[in-house]
Amino acid sequence: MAIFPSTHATLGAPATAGRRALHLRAGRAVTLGLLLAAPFATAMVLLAVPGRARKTAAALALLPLVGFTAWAVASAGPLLSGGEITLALPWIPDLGVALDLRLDALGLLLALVATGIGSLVVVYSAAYLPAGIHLPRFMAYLVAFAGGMVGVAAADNLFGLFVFWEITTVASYLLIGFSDDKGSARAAALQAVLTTSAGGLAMLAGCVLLSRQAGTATLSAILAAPPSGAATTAALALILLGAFTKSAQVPFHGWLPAAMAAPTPASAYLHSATMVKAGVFLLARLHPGFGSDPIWAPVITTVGLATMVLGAWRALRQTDLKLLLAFGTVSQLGFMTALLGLGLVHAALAVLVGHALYKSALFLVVGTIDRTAGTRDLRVLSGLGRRLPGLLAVAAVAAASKAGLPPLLGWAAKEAAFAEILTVAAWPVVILTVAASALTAAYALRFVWGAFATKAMAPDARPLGAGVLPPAPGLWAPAALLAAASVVLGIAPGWVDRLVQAAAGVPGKLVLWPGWQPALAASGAAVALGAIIHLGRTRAAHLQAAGERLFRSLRFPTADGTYRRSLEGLNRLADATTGTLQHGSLPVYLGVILLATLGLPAAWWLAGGAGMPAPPLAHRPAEVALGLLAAAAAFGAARARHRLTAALFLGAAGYAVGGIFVLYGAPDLALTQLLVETLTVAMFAFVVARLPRRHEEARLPWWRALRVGVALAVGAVVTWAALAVGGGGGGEASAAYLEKAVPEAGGRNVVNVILTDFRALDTLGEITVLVVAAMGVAGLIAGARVASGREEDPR
Amino acid sequence: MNGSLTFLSVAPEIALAAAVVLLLLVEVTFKPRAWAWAVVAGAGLAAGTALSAWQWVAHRGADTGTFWNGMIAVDGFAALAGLLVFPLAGLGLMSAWRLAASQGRRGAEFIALVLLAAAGAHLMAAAADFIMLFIGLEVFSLSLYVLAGFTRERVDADEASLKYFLLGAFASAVFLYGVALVFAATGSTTFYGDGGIADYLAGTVIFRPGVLLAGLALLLVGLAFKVSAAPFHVWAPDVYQGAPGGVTGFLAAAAKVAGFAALARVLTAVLGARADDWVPAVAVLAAASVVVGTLLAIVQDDVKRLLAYSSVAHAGFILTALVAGRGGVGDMWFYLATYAVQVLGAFTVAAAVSGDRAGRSPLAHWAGLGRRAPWLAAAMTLMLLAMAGIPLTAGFAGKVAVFRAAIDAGYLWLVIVAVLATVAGLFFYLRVIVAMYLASPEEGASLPASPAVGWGARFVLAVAAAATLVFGIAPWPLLEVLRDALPL
Repeated sequence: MAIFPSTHATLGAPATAGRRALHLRAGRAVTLGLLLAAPFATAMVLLAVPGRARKTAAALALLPLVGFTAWAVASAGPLLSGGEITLALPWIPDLGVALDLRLDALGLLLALVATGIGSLVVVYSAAYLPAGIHLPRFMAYLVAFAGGMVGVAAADNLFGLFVFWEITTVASYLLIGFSDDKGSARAAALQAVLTTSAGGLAMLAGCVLLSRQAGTATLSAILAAPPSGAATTAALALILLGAFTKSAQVPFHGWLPAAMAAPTPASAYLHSATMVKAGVFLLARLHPGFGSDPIWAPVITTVGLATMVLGAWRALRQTDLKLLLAFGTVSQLGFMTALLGLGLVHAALAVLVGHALYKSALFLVVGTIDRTAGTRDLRVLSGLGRRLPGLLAVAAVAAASKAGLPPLLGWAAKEAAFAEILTVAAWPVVILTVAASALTAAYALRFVWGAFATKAMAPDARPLGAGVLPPAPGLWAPAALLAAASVVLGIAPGWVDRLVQAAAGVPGKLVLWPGWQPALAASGAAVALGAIIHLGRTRAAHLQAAGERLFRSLRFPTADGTYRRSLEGLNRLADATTGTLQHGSLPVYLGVILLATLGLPAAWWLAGGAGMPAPPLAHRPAEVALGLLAAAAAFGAARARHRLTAALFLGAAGYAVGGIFVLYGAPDLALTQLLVETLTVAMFAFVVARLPRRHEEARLPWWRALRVGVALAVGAVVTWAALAVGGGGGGEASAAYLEKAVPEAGGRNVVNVILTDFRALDTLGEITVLVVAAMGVAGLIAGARVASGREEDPR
Repeated sequence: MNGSLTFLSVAPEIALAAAVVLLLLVEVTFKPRAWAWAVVAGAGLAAGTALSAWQWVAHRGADTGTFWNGMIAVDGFAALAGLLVFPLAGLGLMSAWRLAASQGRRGAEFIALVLLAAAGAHLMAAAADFIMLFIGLEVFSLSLYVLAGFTRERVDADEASLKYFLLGAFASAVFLYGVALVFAATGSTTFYGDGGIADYLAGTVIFRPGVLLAGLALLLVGLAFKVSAAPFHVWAPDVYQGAPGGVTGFLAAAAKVAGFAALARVLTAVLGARADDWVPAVAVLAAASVVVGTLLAIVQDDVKRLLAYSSVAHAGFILTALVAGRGGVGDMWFYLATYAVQVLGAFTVAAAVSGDRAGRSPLAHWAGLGRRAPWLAAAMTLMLLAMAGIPLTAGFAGKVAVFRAAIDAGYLWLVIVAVLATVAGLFFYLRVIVAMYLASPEEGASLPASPAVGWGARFVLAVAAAATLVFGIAPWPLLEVLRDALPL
């Protein structure tokens, strides 16, 4: 990644009270830093690998992922007992921004999921992506993403966390828009990145605020002594926005189904197993410090439950297998969020691990179906189970884990979750959870049925089956491994249990057989209900359609609609602002500038910041006459129809001002003024001869009135300022020069002495200004020739 | 103060002026090839940079002072401005080199104008007297007006130049009137020393506070116009879009640097005692700029115009640093320096894509650039990501720095507005990136011929990309150094 000024490793010192301090070797910390830098370095190398070297690219991409997984498993022991690996990497120390790393059990859990599943996805991608696709670049994005995920898992500084968080967003964007020239893919990529980046920046604001409240940006220090109060709650709300958008929670979930435009391996990895878990992870990370904040439980639980039910409901209606899984992911993310809202960190993390394993397996299965059968529409697919029994077995195992059937990890996780929910939550929560689980079981069945069953086809459907060849090992082995992991870890959940318990920091129970308990009834009911829904699927579909019609008639805002409307609204607002502010018309621009100029002193005056004294109207009688003359001339210039008349009026106004200079004893100034005015009028006369004689008149009366109003307001303010200034005693400036002229400069003509001696540098500068102006004029004359030549030349 | 320093205090300006005179003389006498221009201009800019570097080494921190009857300041602030402006002018020349070389004998004038603009910009930063500041402003502004309309091949370039000139002259007049009012209130145009404005304002009794405030307001307006802060930004989009592609980058970058240098010295050093009066006004200007700039950028279909509005928003972000007063000057420099390089890079790409004489650069020209010219597209992507404030680019570090400064000054609301604008800003920066990588050129669309990139422009892009990445990944050394770039 970068060369850091000092990478001193600190020994593990857990900040959270109650954890056993374990001193790890400093070497581990450095290894962690290197392993985190490795994916980014690999990504750089991969960008330089030519597109044909597919095997090299895959091998290169595997290296940092497998390396990290192996290292993490090897050093898991101390972490599981409460130890930590920390590494201080200062970045912008002034601002408290650092990339400090602190890997504990919670971070280990997410990092292991990211790198472990990442390795399998890399293997799968090499087999999946067609030859036309630039594989090394795909791998580069994938590996960089994995690095970002590990960074999120291990960051111990709010800003460092944000940096890695954004890296995952950018990688996701690149992957979603990777291979598609279609407008829809582009729009989807944009929607995904806009939603998650907007949330991310809200999170940045929250981080800034939180670090101010806490006095430090170090995450472990904040969690050890969390601040509280209204500002902290506001900061938390902003950070929650980031977590919710990332984890596709209602009402921000619209981007996740849209993101299915990504190549399927990327969907499996980012949009189900890892990236969307970052939000859930962040909630789990913050829970020890902020779980008791007033908004924590109500907001998070409500959002989670709504997401869970909505996602499951929508999943059951999908005909595209990938979209079905996407909505299923939304639903499961809602489940985890709701569990965290209730404070059930252990259960949430157990569900997270289980979901990562089975959902990525299912996604990979969909990719394989897509590749072998050429479609993933369950209305068209039929008889695939008979052709590909192996794939069916893999899918069935993963789907069973999703539905929560023993002896799979999904079952153990769900049992633990139900048991914990029943101890803390009220009945409505329990009922919603059971209902969503029933829907989950139903769409898991629908998935297997839709992908593999032999169905009575609609007459116009394209029958499949004959042309399907068995997929290459790279296309099924990773999914099979993931499914197998679901089985093994389901039968012997001890290791996962240790990891999840250490990560949650609270005891929990993840076992194959929990014994007869109320939770068993709940999950049994859910599975049974799911089976019933699936068996009565035609009727269920009718019911759902009716429900959705009803829902639509309520005109309740939907997530997609909200996203579209907010974009349109932004566009409209911007359009309207352009229309009013940016005509391209010089008078309008000048008017805007003038009004704003008046606005500043006016604001001060209204704020009472400064007394605006009423100045004396005049000091000498002759002044009144000259002032009135100047005003009359200015009025005449504004009213004149002919350009030359206007110029003459302007000259008269200038002469009047020159007269005032005379009154105040500045004959040299007055002389200069008179000469300049005369010369200007003469030049005007030359130029005006070549222009139309009359001004263009403003046609609209209100527009003229506005212009008159602005002009009068500016005139009034300037008049006030001139009068207020005029009251001062004269002679202050000249006295010093008169005194010094002869002794210091040896000149009796004070004006000359000032110009050539006291302020010689100014004079030199003014000469330079003239040089520039002369070059401009020369350019205009030369350009006039170019322009006339241009007109003659027909080209 | 050392007498021999008197001439060394304006040595950078002398070097530049000498280069200009030499350039024009050589041009008239020998009519040399274009490389001779490059040698003279390069020598002048190198000398200016070296002299500024010497000033930086010898005269920042304690050993500072004013010269020429208190008209020129030698301090870290002025030296840093030189270290920024002169190399920037060099990069601007490289970026515009093809344009300059294609102007025949007038090319020398073009180069002379860039050098004069650089000298004027440095004078604005080094001036310790309002009269001097105004002269710097005039030298600088006039050069830019002429540059904006230099090629005179298109009517919209003429229009842009004329608009820039008329509105700019008006803004200069407003500034001058502000100087007059401040003089009336304080009895001086000099910043420092006995009887200087800072000295006078540090006293307890202000004779005419109303006049002083009105003067302050007009000064603020004049300089806000130069940096294109809303609502004084109206000229920027028309000028950026109308001016020839090759010049726009220098125009945009230099105007920001010079304007903010003057603004920072006037506000924090000279009027520092009246901070309670101007800080709220600056905060409002900053908020208006980020909001207006961002909103208007969203609807643009022309990349140069989009960058113009984004530059309005960036003016707001930089103003955000000034809300912190003297404490924010280092952050301002960081943002300013990195942004100047980014905007120069972005316009350099625009000139390559749409032609360096062209005014417009519609989004359609950018479709599929990622395939046609991958390096150009990559450079543009980096510049845009940096402007959007994506981490690991200098833009992110800059945003964090100015936000932090404003929060420390107690302007949380401003930071929230700025963060929201940053969020909305992502949309239009990404639109360009999406067009480059994901869109295909429309059927039958007349694209400019495959982007031609000269060596000068390549060098500019390499420098811009390197600076954006290096200061994005490791911003602290620069931030540390810039702490010394304070006005006297």
